[in-house]
Amino acid sequence: MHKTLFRHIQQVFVVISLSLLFTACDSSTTESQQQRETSDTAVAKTKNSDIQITQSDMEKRTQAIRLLRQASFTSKEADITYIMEHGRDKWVEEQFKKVGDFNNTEDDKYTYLETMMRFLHTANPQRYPESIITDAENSLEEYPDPDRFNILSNSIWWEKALENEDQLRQRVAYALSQLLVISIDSPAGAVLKLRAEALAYYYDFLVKHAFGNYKDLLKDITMSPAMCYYLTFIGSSKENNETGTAPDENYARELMQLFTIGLYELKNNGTKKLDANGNPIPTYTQNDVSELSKVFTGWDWQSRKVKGDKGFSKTRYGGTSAYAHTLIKPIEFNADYHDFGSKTFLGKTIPANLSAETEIDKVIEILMNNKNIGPHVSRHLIMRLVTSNPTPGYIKRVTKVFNDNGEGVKGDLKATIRAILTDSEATRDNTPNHFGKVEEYTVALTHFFSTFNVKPLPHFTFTGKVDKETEAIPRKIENTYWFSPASQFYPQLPLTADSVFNFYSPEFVPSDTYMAANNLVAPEMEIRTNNSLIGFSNLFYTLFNYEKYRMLNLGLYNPSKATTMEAWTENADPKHTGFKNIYIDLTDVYEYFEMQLDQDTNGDFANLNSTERGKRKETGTQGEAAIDKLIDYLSIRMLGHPLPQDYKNELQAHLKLITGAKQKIKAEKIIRTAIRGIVTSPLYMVTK
Amino acid sequence: MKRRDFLKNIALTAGTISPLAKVTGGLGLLSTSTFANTSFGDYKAIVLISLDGGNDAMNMFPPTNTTYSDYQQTRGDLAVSLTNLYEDSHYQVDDDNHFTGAEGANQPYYKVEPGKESLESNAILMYTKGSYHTTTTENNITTQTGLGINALMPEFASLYQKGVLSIVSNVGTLVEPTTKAQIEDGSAQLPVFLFAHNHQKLAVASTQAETLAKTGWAGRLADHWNLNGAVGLNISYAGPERTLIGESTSALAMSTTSPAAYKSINSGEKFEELLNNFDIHTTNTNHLNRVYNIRNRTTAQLSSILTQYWASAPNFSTSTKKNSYGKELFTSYKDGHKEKLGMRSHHGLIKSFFEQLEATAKMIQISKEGLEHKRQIFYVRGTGYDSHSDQVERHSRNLRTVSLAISDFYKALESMGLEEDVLVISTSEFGRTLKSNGDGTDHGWGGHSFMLSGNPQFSGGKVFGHVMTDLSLNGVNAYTSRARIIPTTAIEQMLAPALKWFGVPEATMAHVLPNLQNFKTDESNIESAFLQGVFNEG
Repeated sequence: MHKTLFRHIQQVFVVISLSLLFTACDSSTTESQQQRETSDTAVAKTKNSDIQITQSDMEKRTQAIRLLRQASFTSKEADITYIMEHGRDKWVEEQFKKVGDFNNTEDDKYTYLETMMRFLHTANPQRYPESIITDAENSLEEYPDPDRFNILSNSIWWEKALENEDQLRQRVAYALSQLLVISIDSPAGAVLKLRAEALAYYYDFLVKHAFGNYKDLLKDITMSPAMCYYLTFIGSSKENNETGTAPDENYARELMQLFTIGLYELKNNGTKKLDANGNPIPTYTQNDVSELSKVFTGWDWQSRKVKGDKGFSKTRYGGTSAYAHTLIKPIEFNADYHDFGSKTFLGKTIPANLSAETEIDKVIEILMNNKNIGPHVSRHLIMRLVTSNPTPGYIKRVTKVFNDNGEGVKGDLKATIRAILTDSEATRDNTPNHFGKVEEYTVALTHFFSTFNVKPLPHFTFTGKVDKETEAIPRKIENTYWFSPASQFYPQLPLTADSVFNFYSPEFVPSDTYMAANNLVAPEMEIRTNNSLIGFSNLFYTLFNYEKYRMLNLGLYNPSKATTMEAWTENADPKHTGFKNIYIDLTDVYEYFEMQLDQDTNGDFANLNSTERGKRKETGTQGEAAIDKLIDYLSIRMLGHPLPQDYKNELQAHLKLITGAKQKIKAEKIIRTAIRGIVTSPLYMVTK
Repeated sequence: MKRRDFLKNIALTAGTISPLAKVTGGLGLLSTSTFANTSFGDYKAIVLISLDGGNDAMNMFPPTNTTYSDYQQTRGDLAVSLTNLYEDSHYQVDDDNHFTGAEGANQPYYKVEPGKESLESNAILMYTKGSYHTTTTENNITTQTGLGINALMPEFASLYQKGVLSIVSNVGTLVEPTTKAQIEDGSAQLPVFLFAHNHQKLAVASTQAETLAKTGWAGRLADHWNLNGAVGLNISYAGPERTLIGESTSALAMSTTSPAAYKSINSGEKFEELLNNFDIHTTNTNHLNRVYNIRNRTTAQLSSILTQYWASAPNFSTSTKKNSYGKELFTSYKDGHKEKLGMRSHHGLIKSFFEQLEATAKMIQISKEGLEHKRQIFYVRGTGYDSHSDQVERHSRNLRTVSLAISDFYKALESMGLEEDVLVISTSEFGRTLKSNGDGTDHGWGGHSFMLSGNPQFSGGKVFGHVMTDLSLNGVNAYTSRARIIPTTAIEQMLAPALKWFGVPEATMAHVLPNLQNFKTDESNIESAFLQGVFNEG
């Protein structure tokens, strides 16, 4: 545990009543929501029992939250309790056993693609008939529709991140999406944005193979229509001396540079090998790229074989019109355009006249056998999950497992993830003192949501169109997430990186003499620009407008005086085009705060203001004491431990600036500013 | 000063405080800094235009000399025709960049046949239609330079004629002067990872192509100059950018709309004050915490200042200067203009490029007049140049975007009377293969850049550097089987005269551009390494 940190708080009375901490569930919860909350881990719902938290429990809680920040999108109380009781390793093993969306085709867990089809059908049955659910490949119309991407990024992704039980698998898939990058923002054009089923199909492979073998993942992403388009080998042709054209080199280069072996020869501990002159040794040459590019010739999207009203038939080779292909089947081979000659790259030769798919298998075999793939992939996963600057020893231990899972198999991701999360360095307690990582915006947000009981609104209205011309068909969608924050507030929505180099460079060193002198990277700082920091901070202002207690109990943003979320939603009639159709629930925070003020929860927040003449808008002595408790309560809940004293002093001083005659309105401002202050600070934004 | 009073004071003395963008390291090095406090009397800005993804400069400024037949043969369908558009009255724009073609003022340079706006053939036709063959005149003798300006860039053709725009021939990443023979016999020291996007970007940013240093040249300049001013030397409209990052300084990454401001509860509570007050030293034993806290704090402080000054930014929509279609500046990307551009209807101009340049023009005005800055470097990013496929469509809209937006930017500067204070320089991580891959081109090496300024000392209407006389596939300029062109001018050679104009003294130049000395032709004179002829003497 942070020794220095606890030295600060030892003078403070740290045994805090958490009587309301474990009461996430409320009476208005619908049956289906309760189902969502059910977990086979132990759920602690001990309403009103007066739990005292000791310093030892705070340390355990801090460690539990640390694991969840590393390995999960959520930090739900049930998981925190489970980890405090059973430990890190047990939680990780339990996660490996969770039934994923792929394990069983008969259950009610659906893949990204299946979920998208179900959503489309529900939202717009005229355009998307029921047959797309059972036979998406043949029934999904290929007319471009940006709603498909919106559904993927605003609804499905959040629902899975916030609600799936296979959290570790989801989190690893997201980490892989930042290694094997594709994006709607493609240099090839806008098709992936208009045909986002290709992205769902792609993301499903990341989820499916997250605990599988890296070799199988490489094969599936290579054969996916999205990658073929994003890295432009679609329609690439063998060298033609008459037209002077040569194969497209894009995928060949990035497959080596980014997805498998990297640029420089590495030792198993991730450090660069050096030649006799002390220079790093490149892993491949331009000639290797040119040779490998010959493998990726003759491939394009499967043409739509079914003739619909629009009469599509086989299109020209390499065509990328958004209309005439299926993007949820493997890419298709066209022998006329393929280079069947032998290819030699990385010192290995692929003989002439193999079948094209065998060639790809050979390529993957050569890359998997390369010594660099272990440290390259291991370092990426450690950096995405645990720490930006792993020690060579940590990388070496993980690489050893990637290279051999103990049964002679290389590339076993489950074994690799286990090695990462159960390594002693993953629990390093700020040693060395640059341990950890700046939190990714998206991950910080999902954890915040889960801590404050996010839920979808009971329903919202979807206003998609049957086709480009017709009027919108409004349909009510029940109990489904819809949240579209990214473009407004921060630049890290999944599958939207600027380029194949991801949202940030793994080698980014922030401007800081200590970091530079010690060659320490902090990739996530690269997109901590002035704008994104302010935008993200403002998100944590805006989100509190959509908070249950505020609306129902304080009557703010509630013109119809609704007393249930159903009634509120009915009146507000939210649309899918809006920024959000979710809400958070701080009821327990309000109740805790009021208990500290006046020992009841009737919502008057009596005693917050001073009774002194002329100071009745200002916080009084009792108010200050309650704010003191509130800060401890929030920080223990969010971080596992109280704030360091100097942070706490500043936050207290800042909250004192908030004035107002109406105590309950003022309580709302204090609570939202207190949480925003903690979330925006490095104590929350750095995972360590 | 108590920290709590800091913001209040900043607003009053924004022009004279030490740079907030200068963040100190964990050891509080600012106080022990030995950097000189540099001051200038006049205002100068450099605007860097990065054409991201690798611009096909070979088609932006196509060859018009004896190399044309080799170019045409190797490029195939993607070759730009040899037609000289300066000789065709339909394709002219006047000195003020308005179309003067036979079809009348404000007509599009290319008329799309009604009903055929979305035909691919239209785009190909225009992209390869021809070029404006540039000339130079010395001692009353006019000669062809050997490079043209693509038909999609009539505004560039006009700016060239006006004497404010010049082309830099075949510039790229180099460690030292490099010939094909030296590469083949292994004696050349090459940039590391030629032809790889991210590494060549770093090579351009660091101007240390052999090591790809962690700092950028403009960042090192900011480290070295301890300039007064609230926002520091470097401003990016392209997010975080290595070029602008130094060891102890970071760039200000701004949005193109009004500066972001923190939402706050009420007048008694300003959230940025909390971030400013969180202490950056006492409990931050973790360095990531410390770095994050400093970032929060500088962001909070800058937000206050910029919000205040943005209110006085000029509004170009009311400018009397208009674009070549007679419309408001910086609006060409908007719907309703597209149909005039001779391009496929769903492939419009690139909005963000216009927005970045509009914001840059505003910020130049604010910085000079309001914040009283003296030196600034702006970074603007053009995207979508990685034309492996669909080059005709994608490069078309990029060329059209650059020509219109740069022309609008220059007119905006003119409207403020600031055109003499600003120098525009374009870069790209690489050019593209001379050889086509069917419908696109792959990662190459050297490529042409452009420079633009209304400063009378700047030599506009010129082609700087070496114009190639051999573009054969196996010729001396072509490296690898696909003809990646070996640069004949290094990035640092192009930057050096610009930095001299900017006021960088010789001693500092070596720190900012460490490899520049490798290009000296006269051992005793660093200026012999400079790209020649960019600025007039005096």
